[in-house]
Amino acid sequence: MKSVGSDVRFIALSATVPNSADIAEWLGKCPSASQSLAHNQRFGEEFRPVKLQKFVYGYQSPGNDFVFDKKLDRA
Amino acid sequence: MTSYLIRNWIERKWIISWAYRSGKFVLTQSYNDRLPEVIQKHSARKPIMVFCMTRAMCISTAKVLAQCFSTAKPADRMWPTPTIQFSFRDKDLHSTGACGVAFHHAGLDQNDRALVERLFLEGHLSVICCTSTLAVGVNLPAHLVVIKNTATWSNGGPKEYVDLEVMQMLGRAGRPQFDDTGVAVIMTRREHQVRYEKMVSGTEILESW
Repeated sequence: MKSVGSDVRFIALSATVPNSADIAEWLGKCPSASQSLAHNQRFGEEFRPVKLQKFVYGYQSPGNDFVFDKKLDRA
Repeated sequence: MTSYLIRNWIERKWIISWAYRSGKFVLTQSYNDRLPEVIQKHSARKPIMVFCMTRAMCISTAKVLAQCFSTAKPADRMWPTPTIQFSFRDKDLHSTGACGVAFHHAGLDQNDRALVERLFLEGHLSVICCTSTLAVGVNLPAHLVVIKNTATWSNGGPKEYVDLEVMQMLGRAGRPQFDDTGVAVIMTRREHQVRYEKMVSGTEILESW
């Protein structure tokens, strides 16, 4: 898109991309001012109407996925 | 370890590896009740969704949770007892349903599936064990979402979920009309823990090489 010089004005990035500023820098403001940063706006967790608490639990994992799965339930 | 836990608690994100705990006995004990333990800790007696790898695992997990419910003393039960009577065509579903636990997958009878969805929304069923397909399409918000094992059945074998699937499942947590918070728990193998921790905290840097 950068090389074909299309007239795209807005790019939506996935929430899983934290380094949007890097992408803005790489993209540049426009072909004639490719050295300057494209404007970028970040909408983070603070925009969530319902706050989400996230927990990641890691477990020791002998055996295949079936064995592991059973162990996660109970003995 | 303690300062690590406190620091992560302040950030409202915990990482716990059982192996870090002292003694083998603790480790073996904790194997036995991992899912019930997670539910006990995080559900606040509100609706729960558990994502499982296969249809068969939805059923077996639902049975285990139903058994947990029926063997516990009424005061110790982790979710409320259904207050109305309902009947499912599927025998397994009928018996787990009486304990407030259901399973939901594409192989289930159309009527049973619709009934599970309705009863869950109305609060008569408290737990749904489902496959990742329920994360898209059907709007069933839950207070607590648990991804039990981060593998899914794909092309004839277990594969780790892709990022988008995980985000969609986590997105089921929180019910805007009832709650002001939602909780999402990822139960995974220790070697994948860092990957999911990065994913949920949004620190997985996108790079091109």
